[in-house]
Amino acid sequence: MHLWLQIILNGILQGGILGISALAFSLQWGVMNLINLAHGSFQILAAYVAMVLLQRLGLDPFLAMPLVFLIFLAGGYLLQFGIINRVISGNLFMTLLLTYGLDFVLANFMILLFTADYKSVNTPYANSSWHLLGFQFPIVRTLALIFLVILSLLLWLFLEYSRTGRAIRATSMGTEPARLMGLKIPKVYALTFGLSSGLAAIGGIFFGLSNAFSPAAGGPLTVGAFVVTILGGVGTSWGPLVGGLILGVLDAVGSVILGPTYVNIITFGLLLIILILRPTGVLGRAAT
Amino acid sequence: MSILQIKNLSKDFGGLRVLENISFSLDEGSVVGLIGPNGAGKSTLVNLIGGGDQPTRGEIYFGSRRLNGLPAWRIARLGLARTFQITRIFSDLTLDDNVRLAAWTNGWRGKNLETEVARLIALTELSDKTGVLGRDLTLSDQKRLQLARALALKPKLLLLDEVMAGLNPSELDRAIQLLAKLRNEGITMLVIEHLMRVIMSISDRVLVLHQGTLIADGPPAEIVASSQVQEAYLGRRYVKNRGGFQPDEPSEVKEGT
Amino acid sequence: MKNRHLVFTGLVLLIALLLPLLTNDYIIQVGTEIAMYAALAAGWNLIGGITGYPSFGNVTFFGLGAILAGAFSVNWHWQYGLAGIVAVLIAGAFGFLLGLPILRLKGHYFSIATLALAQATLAVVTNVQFLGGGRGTSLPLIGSPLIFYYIMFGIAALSALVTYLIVHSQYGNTLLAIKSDEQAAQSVGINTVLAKSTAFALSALLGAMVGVVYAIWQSYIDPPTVFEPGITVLMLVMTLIGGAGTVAGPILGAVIIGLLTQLAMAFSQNASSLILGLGIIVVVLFLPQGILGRQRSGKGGKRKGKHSFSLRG
Ligand SMILES: Nc1ncnc2c1ncn2[C@@H]1O[C@H](COP(=O)(O)OP(=O)(O)O)[C@@H](O)[C@H]1O
Ligand SMILES: [Mg+2]
Repeated sequence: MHLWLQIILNGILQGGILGISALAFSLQWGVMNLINLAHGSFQILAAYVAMVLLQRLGLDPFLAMPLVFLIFLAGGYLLQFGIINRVISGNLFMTLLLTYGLDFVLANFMILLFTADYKSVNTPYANSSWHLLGFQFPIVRTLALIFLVILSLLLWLFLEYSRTGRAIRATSMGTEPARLMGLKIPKVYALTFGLSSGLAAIGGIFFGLSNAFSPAAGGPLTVGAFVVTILGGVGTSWGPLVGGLILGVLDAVGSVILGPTYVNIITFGLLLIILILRPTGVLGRAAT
Repeated sequence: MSILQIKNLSKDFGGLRVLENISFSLDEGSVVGLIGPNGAGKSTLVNLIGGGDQPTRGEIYFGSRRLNGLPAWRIARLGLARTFQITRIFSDLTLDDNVRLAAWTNGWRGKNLETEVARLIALTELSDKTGVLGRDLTLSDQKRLQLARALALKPKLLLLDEVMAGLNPSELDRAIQLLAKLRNEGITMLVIEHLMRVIMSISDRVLVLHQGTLIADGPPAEIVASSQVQEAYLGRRYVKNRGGFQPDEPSEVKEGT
Repeated sequence: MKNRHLVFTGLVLLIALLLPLLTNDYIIQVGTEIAMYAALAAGWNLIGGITGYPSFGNVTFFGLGAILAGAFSVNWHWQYGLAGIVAVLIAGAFGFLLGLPILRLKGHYFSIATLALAQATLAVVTNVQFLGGGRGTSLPLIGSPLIFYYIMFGIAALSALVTYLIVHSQYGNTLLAIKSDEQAAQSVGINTVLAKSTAFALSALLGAMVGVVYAIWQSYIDPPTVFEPGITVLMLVMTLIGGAGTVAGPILGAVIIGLLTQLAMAFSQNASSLILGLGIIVVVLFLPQGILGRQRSGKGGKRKGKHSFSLRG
């Protein structure tokens, strides 16, 4: 019994890592109808940045987080403004392809810089746990879940109550009405992409703290974010949390019952079934 | 003999009741006008009959065949053809390939196929547009193309959703003649149209839809005279001596998907 | 018009057939790969280019063809011919049956469902010993590189022929109609579900055929390699560069990308991938119609700069 509770707890905490990763992905999809296939590579890049800052400057990843967030925010803004905006109003498929190309470039660029070997962000606390009531709480994952809850709340408050956030929400309901309201769509899009790139970077740092990573790890991260987003519902502030918890627990329990090699069957099987039966996700509006 | 029978049909979109308990039937060979203000539910009704969407409640019979749950393509194959108010043409195909594909799908082959395609294109006065890609056609050409394409199904029943919107007066006269000709060929028609002149000249009977309910059903003259209809729909704008009235702007609402 | 096409086709055939006589093993190897990708891209074009359903998972069928043919010949000692035919048929049926639910999805949802399909299939394969499990399958070596060159080339030619026949038939027009507007297609009596699933199945058959030959050619099947999502992306990039929906486009795209890759490989594997990535971005930004894509239509207006895909999300 205790063992099972610990397994479920592990799943829940893994849900934090998964959910943070999906926060950005879901925002981009929900607001711009953009599937960012380079999402995982953005995160891995952030993990490398954190690693370099730690190795070269001795800067703790949590202290580096605001800095990395801002760097990615600016980079994302420019990328969207300069390149992605050029095709995003065209057809979905071209945008998808563009982000795939971006992913290719990023991944191979990282191989050139850091080689294809596995690296990690070595902090003293990376592999240690807190102990509470006889259960193990791995520090990084626990913090990830706490961060996810806080970030979801902040994102929700931002989208609900700030001027910029309201502009983003208005744009997500259709570009035409937003244009009529006098919003500059390219700017709103660039802001959205910048913000989500910053969020992706935070997710990437958590991933780098809790896993060994290589430039090739981006693909699985993107797919994971996709599954979580679909599970939780596209473009809802709380969807990533819900989706992350569901997938985290299912994978944890599934890999114990069926064996770790079955995790992918669960993940992708679930994704297929949900796509076919309820493409708007658990929290999303019912499909019409 | 009734060819189409609608029984207690209702349609909700989310919480919005768009059609409420509609019942009527169409006699074989008749031409029936369907009028009503924008947003009354006319296009929704046509879409339900054509199988583009499913009713929330109620039943639809085509002859003795129950249409509920049938996919749209099956309904089309039964000989029930329709046009769309917001035109839907095959933009990557040429005008003649649009018609040819519809005819081919419904069994025309070889030399007969070509003869039929040419006949339909001539009938809808599109002969000078053969070879033009669907995406490059003007709106009025697209409307005519939809009619030609629908006729390629050898339909027994034709549902026409504002096919004449945007035609000039002389085009309108020829369109009315065309409908009269189709009627003489024995095709039953349900015609949605805003211009009372058209409705008066071609229909045997008029149905009036208002906020999702059927508020009148009778011969055109009777409908025009009815005070209830005038109030609901024709309102102050109907000018008897002109025999026509100016409708509101055409609805921008998308047809049900 | 017709003549020009005939001359072009003849020329390509001549070069391709004579190529091995003039040159060395390396060229034959590259030629085989290009023919292989030409066939795969042509298969992708059927569902992605003509029908307008951009699959991100067509590698599923390539992988299934390879894995099944390997499994049948190793475990049940079937002849390659029989193993290959059965593998191709199974993959085709798989494509048809999965197409029924998946092709109901539109836009992103379809693309990602197909991506998930490939990954789910790989996950199943790695867990089933009969299919090679996690370790993969080794096959006895047969034939010579030259034979495989001609076989791959034959499949590429077959794919082009199939595409040509479809494009010039009412079935091809049916698929184009579905790409334009599915509701309108239904309204004239087209069974869109059947038509789409058939296109997906044809795409699957061609992909699996290539997969079978690939497995025998390489004499080793590594599941992650034959289900690599990058293979699907190559199919789609080649098709887009050449011109989606056209007969020659996917082949032209395969030749261009194939040669560029070889050139870049001269520097490093990594550089070639980087160039492919940049190439994708350049195509999307500057050449969305592809080289052979239609830039204008018959009598009507121009449609420069518009994409050849029309998707509604
Ligand atoms: N797909 C839909 N979803 C929600 N509401 C719809 C949909 N289609 C139509 N409506 C609503 O149904 C009502 C009737 O529309 P419609 O049938 O197009 O009217 P008409 O053709 O008589 O102008 C309108 O209020 C419209 O807003
Ligand atoms: Mg209407």
